[in-house]
Amino acid sequence: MSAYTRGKALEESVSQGMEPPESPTKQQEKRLEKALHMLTHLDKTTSLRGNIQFHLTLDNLIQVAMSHGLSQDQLTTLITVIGSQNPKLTQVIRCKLVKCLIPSYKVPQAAVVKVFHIIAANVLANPTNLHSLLLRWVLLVFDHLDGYDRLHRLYGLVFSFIDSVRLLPHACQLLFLLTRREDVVLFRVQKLLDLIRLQGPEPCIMGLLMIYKVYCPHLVTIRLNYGNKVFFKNHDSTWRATIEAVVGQARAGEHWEEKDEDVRTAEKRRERVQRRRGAKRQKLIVPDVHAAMQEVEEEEDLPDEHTHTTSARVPYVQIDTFTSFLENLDKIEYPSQVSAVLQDSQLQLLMMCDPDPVAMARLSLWIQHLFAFGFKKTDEESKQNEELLKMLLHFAQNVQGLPVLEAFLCNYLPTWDGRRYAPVILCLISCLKPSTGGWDELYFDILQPVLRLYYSSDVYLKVGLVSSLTKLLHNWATLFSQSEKSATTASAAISKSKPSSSKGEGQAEASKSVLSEDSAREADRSSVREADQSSVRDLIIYLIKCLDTALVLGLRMEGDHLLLQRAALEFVEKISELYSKFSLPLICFPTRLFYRLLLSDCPATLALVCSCVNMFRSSITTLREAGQRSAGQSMQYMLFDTVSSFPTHGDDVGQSPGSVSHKLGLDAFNSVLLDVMGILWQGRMFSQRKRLHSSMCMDYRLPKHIEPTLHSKALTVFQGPAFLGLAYKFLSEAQGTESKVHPTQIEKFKEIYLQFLDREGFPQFKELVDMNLKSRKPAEQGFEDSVRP
Amino acid sequence: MAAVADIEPDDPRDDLHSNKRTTVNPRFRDVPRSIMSPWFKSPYTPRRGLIKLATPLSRRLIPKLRTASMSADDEHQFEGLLKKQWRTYSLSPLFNFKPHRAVLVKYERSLDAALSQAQSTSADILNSGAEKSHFSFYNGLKFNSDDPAALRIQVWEKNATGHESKIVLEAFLLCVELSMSPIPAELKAYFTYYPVVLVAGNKSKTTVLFDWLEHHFDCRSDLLTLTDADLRHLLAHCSAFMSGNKSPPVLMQYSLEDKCEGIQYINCKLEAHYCKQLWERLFSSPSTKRELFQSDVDSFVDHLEQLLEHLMSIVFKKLSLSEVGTSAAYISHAGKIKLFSSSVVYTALHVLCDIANDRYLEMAPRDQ
Repeated sequence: MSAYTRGKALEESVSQGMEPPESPTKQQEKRLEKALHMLTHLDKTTSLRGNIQFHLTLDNLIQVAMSHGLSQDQLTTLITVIGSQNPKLTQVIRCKLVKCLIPSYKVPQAAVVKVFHIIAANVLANPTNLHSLLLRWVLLVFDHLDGYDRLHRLYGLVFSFIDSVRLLPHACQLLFLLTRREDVVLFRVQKLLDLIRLQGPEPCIMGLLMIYKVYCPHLVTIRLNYGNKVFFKNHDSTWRATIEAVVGQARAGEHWEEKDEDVRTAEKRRERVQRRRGAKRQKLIVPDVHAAMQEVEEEEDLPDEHTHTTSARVPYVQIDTFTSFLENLDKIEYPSQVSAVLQDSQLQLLMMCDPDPVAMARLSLWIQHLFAFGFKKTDEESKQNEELLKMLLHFAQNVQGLPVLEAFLCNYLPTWDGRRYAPVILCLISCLKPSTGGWDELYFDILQPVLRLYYSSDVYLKVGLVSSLTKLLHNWATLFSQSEKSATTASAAISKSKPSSSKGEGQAEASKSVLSEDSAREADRSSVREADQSSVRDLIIYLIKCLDTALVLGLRMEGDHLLLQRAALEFVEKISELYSKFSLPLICFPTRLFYRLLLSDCPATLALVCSCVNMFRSSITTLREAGQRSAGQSMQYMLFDTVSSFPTHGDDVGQSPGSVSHKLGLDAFNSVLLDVMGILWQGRMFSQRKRLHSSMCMDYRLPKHIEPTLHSKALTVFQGPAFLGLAYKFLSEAQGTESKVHPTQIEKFKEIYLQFLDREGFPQFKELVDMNLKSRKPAEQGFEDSVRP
Repeated sequence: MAAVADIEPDDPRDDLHSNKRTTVNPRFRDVPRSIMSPWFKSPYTPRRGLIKLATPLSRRLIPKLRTASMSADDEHQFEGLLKKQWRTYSLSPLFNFKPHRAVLVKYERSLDAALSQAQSTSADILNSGAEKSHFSFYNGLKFNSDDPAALRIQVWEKNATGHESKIVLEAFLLCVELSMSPIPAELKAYFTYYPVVLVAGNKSKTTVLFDWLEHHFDCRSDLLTLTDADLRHLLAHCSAFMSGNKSPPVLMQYSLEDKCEGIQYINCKLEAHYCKQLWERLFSSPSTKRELFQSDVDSFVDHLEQLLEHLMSIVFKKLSLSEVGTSAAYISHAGKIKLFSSSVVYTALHVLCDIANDRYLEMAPRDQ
């Protein structure tokens, strides 16, 4: 039949009122629904012996359940049928129905609770084979339950099943799977010992006792023979295989990513534990999560039957899913070895949300010992060490405030060769907190060994170190900004809480006294905060100066390597953003570095220099405007460069933001700005600015024999060596490749050349000229040739 | 006066000497870095408070609270400690350790369970549960009220009749008069610090013991290896308590690993009488000289090395000590120690504890 005729037939059948044929899956679902409906609505008077319709329905049910499994609701319904009081449903039929309890994906806890209800109703009388079968089913689907909390609450009920000889092995196995430390109590141990006395050392009882002994060895004092390691027999292998096949089929249809987050977490944890078991006897550098400490806690801390349900603390090992982690966030007890936090991001989250000084001290002391005695500098240990350092880095990035890291770096850096663990060590340096000992301590402990390596290593390590220290600068600036924000929030809260005049007199008096206490406390806090802020600011200033010097020397050593130039520009960019991005009222201009970069033979570097000059200019303007606006208030900004106006060491840089320093800083910036403009655009080499040069203790005058030969336009955007390629391209485009060209020909067409540079991906030159040349500025903008003091 | 030097060829089977030395010259460990590198002129003012008291400049010869060293009468105090070869381990502070007799019983049961579990996973499963541990406080080593009482752990193996027959593991957790504690004052209630653990016995049982300690008290343990500087200290301290003329010679073993192919060690033996005389000439007697400074240690050992250099024309100062031994004590760089006389117990253990504590404090946070 062709597609056309098939379509026609379908249309006809619809037009005649006939339903379209159903898919096999739908048909099966319908059959299943029908069967379940029939079972739930069985007439108690109708005999089932020889009832063909009933048996056909039962066959249908078995067939569908074995091939596709039952949904959660269907499982619950079927268990209700199995436990129903219908006298016509014989034991054989009920057992058949139990065998049909094949889950398609997950088994609801409610279904298992129902099963326990059915068993418990008969456990005192005489449990039959049906009850044993139901308990075995619970064991088979244990791994596919949708949770264990409700099940665990029935631990005591399940324990009562061990009185029945028929149920004993299965009940013991189920208890073995359910047992937690708080379930191990003396009367249960005694009960099991009584059973051993009565029935002999059955493997299932010994297995349960063994898990009890693992949790509470002080309660199980008898010597256990572990020779018989198979405590629980593997029943119902065919049934288990069918369940696994059906569930596996359902799971295969799902993508890993679509799985529930909690299920994934639990599976990951299980996998990790299994992996760890495989690597037995190998000492782990970071321990696993466990709660062994509870075993030796004092007697009064031991849980009894009632306390465990209402216990205030929840051991972390009992947290299976992220949902339960969030629910118990304030009650979670750290694992017995806190260092397990290093490889558990969930625990790190806990440490961040609920910082516990004792837990942090435990971790610090542990790491301290590891670094002092366990951090071997041999090749065999290097992989393990690197792994540990990576974990610590991850921890330091997530949870702040691990001071032992600084001590490690202080001890390790003097002997570091600059190669081993280089990426991790560089990242750790960038994670350092501002040291309480100030610049001296930071310099001697961290920077001095690092700078020794810097001056004696290749360009790649130089770039790595500069990037790391730039990141450090960024982190400190962020820290300052956060502290500034918290100060603003606190002051806003205080001002909000001031009593309003509409309140009654007595109320106002009371609130005044509370307010005075609050304000006193807040004043204390703010003074501490200010001290911290000023120390961070000082550290930033000295770090900028230190890096300025190191970068200039590094560039000289490496012949102005492009990678180092790039790292230097990132550093300059970071400094120029200190006020605009981090609200740090500070501009420290790296004069030496600017002059060094200005002589670069790379147009990209020069373009970025221009961009940085512009950024500095706008930062200075904004900062000064803000300073003028808040003249009556306490805002004090700092403006200086790293050479002429830098405060001498020993002065408190934060205390002397005088106008002289500002003026000198501004002079230095203006001087660089004029030089950048002069060299690149106006064809004027380094100008003589006596005031600046005398303060810099440097003389820029050229030797007399060179002075007449030096062309003042040698470094302009069209003649400079950095621009030769671009100039040639511009001239070739303008005049063709055949005619002779020279960069001097561009001078008359500078404006067009600027547009050409913009097109070639260097808009910074045009922006520099537009921003800083008076004649080019639009009327509405300010007319300033440079930033005026 | 006599000095004998034995030059030992390489012996790959000798695992006692197989531990590698650290690369940092430990002699400079005590010296502030500003002094170490005088050629470096910093543009900044010298750092204040550079010495962080990480390493004390002196170590005691006799306890603070005693006027004289211990005599042979005190030997009963150190029952089980003398004439045994111990392996030294360092231990980080124990969290939540309760020094009460009632709790010790619980610790015993818990360790028993750990030992039996370890046994059950080993090949010899039939003997599982055959060990019984015993925890007790060893009061003879409490020289200072601030120190926690030393803890003695013994593991007995039961025989076929179920009675305890022999000790398979013995350990002492020690803290002998530390000059500075690594635990912040506000957290002292939570932690108990035993910087050194002396262990004698079965290696697998030792592993179980340390695993148990780490699991239950959130601590970390590592083998304590001794550097050249540490051995010089121990030699100078132990030489103060040498017995009379007929005592065995003083051993100074130098390691030539990675320095001279074919020769691994040089054993130098000096007459005990000569060493004792030198010590007394330099420092009088231990009762008057209560502590030795770094300079004292250097001068004593340098004198001995100069004598050896004069006799053998080998610059021993440039080599590293790997073992030292006197009639009172023997110590190797691998952390093995054997005490022969009760008079040296305090000083040897105090120096060991101080060494472990100093190394631990080197990694302490700055603001602590």
